[in-house]
Amino acid sequence: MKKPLKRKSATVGDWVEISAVLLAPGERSPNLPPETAAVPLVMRVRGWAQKAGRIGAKISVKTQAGRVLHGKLLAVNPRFDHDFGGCVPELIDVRRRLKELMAKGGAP
Amino acid sequence: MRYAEIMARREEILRKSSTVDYSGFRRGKLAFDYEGMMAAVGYSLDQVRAIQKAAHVGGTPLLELNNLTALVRKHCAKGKGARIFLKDEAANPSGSFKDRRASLSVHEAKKRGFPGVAAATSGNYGAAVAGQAAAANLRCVVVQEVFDSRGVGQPEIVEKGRKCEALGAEVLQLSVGPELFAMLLAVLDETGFFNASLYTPLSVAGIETLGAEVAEGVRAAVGRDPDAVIITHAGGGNVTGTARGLRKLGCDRTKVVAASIDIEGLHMASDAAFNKKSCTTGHTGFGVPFASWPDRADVPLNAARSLRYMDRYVSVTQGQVFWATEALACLEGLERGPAGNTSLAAALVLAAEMPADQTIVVQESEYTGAGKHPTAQLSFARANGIEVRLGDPAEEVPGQSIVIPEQFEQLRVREMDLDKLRRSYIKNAVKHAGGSLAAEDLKFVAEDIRATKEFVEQEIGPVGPLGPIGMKE
Repeated sequence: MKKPLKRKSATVGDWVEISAVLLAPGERSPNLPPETAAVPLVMRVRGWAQKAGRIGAKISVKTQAGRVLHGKLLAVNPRFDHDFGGCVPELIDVRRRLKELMAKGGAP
Repeated sequence: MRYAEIMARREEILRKSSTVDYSGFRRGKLAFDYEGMMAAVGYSLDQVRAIQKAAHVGGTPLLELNNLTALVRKHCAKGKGARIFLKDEAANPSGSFKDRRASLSVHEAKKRGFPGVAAATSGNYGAAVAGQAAAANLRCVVVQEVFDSRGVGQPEIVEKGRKCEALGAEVLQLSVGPELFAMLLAVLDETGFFNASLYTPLSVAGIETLGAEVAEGVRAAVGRDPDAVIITHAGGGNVTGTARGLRKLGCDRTKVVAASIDIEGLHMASDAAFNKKSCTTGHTGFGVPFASWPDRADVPLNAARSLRYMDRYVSVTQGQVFWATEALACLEGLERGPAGNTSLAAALVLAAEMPADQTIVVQESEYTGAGKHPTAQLSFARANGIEVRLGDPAEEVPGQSIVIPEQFEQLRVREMDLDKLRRSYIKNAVKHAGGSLAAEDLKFVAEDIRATKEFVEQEIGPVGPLGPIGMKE
């Protein structure tokens, strides 16, 4: 199956993902480990584009809760990329051992 | 948004987004009328059941795990090996027991005319709030901690975000940091939504039906009360609500056992450590701090107070949880999410200690799917530099390795020292009370950690009519 081409710009009403910095490093909570304090607090949110724009452009979206939020356009029709992962041979080994163990002497 | 500004308005925003007047229950610097606060929910157990039934929540099957019981009996002394039951909470509408917690909040929000509900959670609770809100025609915002500064998120949380979106919520996804709470406050402030916190009396009362159903299910199956109920522990609501439900049904001798995944050494607010955990909840990173100080939550007074109810607290390794998840799938035909199997992993060890005529109940399961699955989570761990191998789980180092047991004999639990948690609670209590406890606070603390007044006094020195004495060095 061919993957659809990634869209480079959004038109009004497209389902899009945006991102914005909510707190710059200096504005964050005072009690953070140094590696967290050094980076900004960033948000990502999905909604319907309120105006047209190219990837990276500042736009606004209306979310499913009806809020209007502003940020940089990340993606149009954003994908979900999570999956079941690769084969984990160790788990297959666990399964084989368990099955063999239960077969031995029969299940009570 | 200014962080300090929004945090300064914390009390006001929480008051407006709630139906509980918390200040009315306060009795001292720390002390509050816990039972009074729970009673103010205003619904009896049966009324809660009726509300949940109308929302398609609860009434989940109690399954006897015959093959896992048989597996345990192959490895323990003759006459041992308790019968293992599983409360299949994955059968709830959004796939976990969290629907019980969300149902009352959403019911109350609707009844009181709130335009929507919001919650800060990276767990199954988000989907529960989203789903319950959808069915009640309320709007919903879920605030999640999802990705690190590279923009990478654990597959388990990414899936939970997808589910919230599919159920119609706005999903506000954030990078790592405790400011999640401030962002929730900002959302509540802007929208006027109801704060569907995990830690309200409504949320905990919603779980009481789970304890009650466990009691009824076991009585129907074996004709007596469960001997032990084992509960995956993170923020404390699951332990608190389940134990309260068991007690309401009169199960006074049932042992309440909490279980968490051991992730000792991984800092919860660390951008670098965030993706080194391979389970996102049910772990000691929540379980220990919330037991030793519950009032760190997004409500003024936390209704989830686990030390009141725990008889025992054990931890298991990540590798054991993945092992148990595999065993549940291939021996019982039940493919369920890994994090919910934390208590199952511990139950396999505990069942071996118990007589064969006793019962142990694993009180929840959760749904599984893309991202929320052992192969997804272990693949992600490997991609993040975690060593995944077979071996002795005792060798697992959280954040460095996941060691999946090779043999049943390698399964074990680590006892968490309840007295140590109690002492840590006392220390926190004294700190939060400004250095000393008054007599009413002392009484409250003793009740809250299920210890004697003497135990508390040993830590802080006597609290007499002449006035309190501060923390013992």
